[in-house]
Amino acid sequence: MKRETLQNQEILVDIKNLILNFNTNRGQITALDGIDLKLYKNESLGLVGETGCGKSITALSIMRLIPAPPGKIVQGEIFFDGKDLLKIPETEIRRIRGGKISMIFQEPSTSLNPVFKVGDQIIEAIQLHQKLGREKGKRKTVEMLEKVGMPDPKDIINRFPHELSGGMQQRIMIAIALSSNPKLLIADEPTTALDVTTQAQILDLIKDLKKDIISSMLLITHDLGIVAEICDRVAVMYTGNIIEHAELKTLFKSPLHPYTRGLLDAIPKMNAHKKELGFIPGTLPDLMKLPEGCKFNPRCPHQMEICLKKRPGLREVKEGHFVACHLYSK
Amino acid sequence: MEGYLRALFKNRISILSLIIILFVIGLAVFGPYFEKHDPLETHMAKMLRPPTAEFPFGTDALGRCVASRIIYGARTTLLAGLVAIAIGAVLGTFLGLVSGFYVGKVDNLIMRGLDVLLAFPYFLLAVVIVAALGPSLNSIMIAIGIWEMPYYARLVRGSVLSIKEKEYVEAARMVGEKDSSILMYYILPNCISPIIIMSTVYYAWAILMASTLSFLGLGVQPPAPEWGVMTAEGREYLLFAPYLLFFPALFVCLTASAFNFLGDALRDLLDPRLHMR
Repeated sequence: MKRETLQNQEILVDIKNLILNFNTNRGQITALDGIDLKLYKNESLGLVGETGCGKSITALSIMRLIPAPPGKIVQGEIFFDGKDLLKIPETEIRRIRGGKISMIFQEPSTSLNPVFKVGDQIIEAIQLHQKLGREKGKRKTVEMLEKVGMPDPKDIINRFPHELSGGMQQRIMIAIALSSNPKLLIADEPTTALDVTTQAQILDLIKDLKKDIISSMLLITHDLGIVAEICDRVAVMYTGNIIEHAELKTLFKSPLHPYTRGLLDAIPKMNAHKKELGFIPGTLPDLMKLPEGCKFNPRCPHQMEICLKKRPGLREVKEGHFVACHLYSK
Repeated sequence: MEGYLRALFKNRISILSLIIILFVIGLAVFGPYFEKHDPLETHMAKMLRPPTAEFPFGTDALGRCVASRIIYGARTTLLAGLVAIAIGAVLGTFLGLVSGFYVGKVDNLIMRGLDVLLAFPYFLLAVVIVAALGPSLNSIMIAIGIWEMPYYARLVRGSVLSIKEKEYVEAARMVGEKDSSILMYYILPNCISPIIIMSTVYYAWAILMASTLSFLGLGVQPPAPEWGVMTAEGREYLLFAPYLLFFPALFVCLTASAFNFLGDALRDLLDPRLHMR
């Protein structure tokens, strides 16, 4: 999608300066440290980062499912369709969950209730948000299963989750998620638990569904390959901050942040003649003992004096390309 | 399911227990249709007879047929146990679900309350409840139910604590389910199997307890036939007619043991940690 068209696009989700803390036995952790993120209608946004950088927490905040305590949103607003999700009553957010915003998860095998047939589970989810009778619900279920490419849906609805393969279970989860025609689909590492061939099938399915059913999507992953295949825009997270976000092509062609560059370098390339794969030195810092200044400074190859003192803010360096790094401040 | 049944039938004790249980249940359900003596009918000319063809288990001090009293007594005892564990299971499961799901104040309030119940010597608790309600079959059922309630609550609470962390519960929240539906459709069905297994063991306790309370005169009142009552009556004639005590006590003992063994076998069977072999 072109930038020009994007700007005219309506904003669907607008997260403004979201700060979220967790109180643990060892002390307070800032899991989200001022997130600013916009998601436009009909757009797929990839949220990329290492384990523990706050990707899933961002998604859970949108759903308002952060367990509190220990989690606490200190500050910030999450606008969805013009409403601040953090301020609406519980009954209303429950209608939005699964209705206007749906989610699919990493582990399909544990995301289905093991004691009920999958058909009944899909019908249950459909009836929560749509007033449909048993028969109509069943028809809709079969229809949804056909849409997610399930062979022989009439047989599948009478099966229990453990009788299905991981790929089929994930298709069921996708069917449940899409049954209410959500405005936003959050996919939290939808292919991580699947083997490579199934992964490819599920990705193809998501790409197919994007053409007509899925309107907007927030894809959370640590796999840049998946982002490249599916998303229009990418945001890279590091220890609770968004450190860079841009259009897909811009980000892949000219990554600015040293961390993003490191990530892209670490992907094996088919045509490259380099013998060694790139890597980012060091490990993710302990959220308890974050470094002074830029949180990435101990691992950064371009460390400067200012990086040790001042934490860089996210700023627009080129049109539509935001980065939080002192290298690009004038 | 078939695999489980096959494994169950491999274990001799569990087969034997199952046979005894089916026999006693059959006795309670169909026995009265085959027994020609009325359990309350007295034969004054035939008092304290040892077992004969006419009276297979002999007659008691009033000339009543012990065999027929055992058959009718089976109904009372089995039913009393059933109602008692139903009361305990329903109340206990409800309290366990609520306290496991809503950690914090509610949980603390419920569990400390149940701890108080557990702190009473169980027998004293039952006697106090019966004393408050007056001795009758209904009051011992309630007393046993209340006595077993905390055990159910603890069992269920433990299961709930682990199940509510499962991803399908989170997934249920994500599709917008209410707390009550999550409890009913996602958590309860997944913790039902330990409840069922423990119920067989608790049922044995309930039968024993019902007989004991009746033996002490707190439960079923004579002349109604009940195993505990019959044991109590038989006690007086222990020296001349030991069979009066022997048969009802035997039935209480066999039935309770059978349920206990079956419960153990079921638990071993369904506990994957014990399937190491």
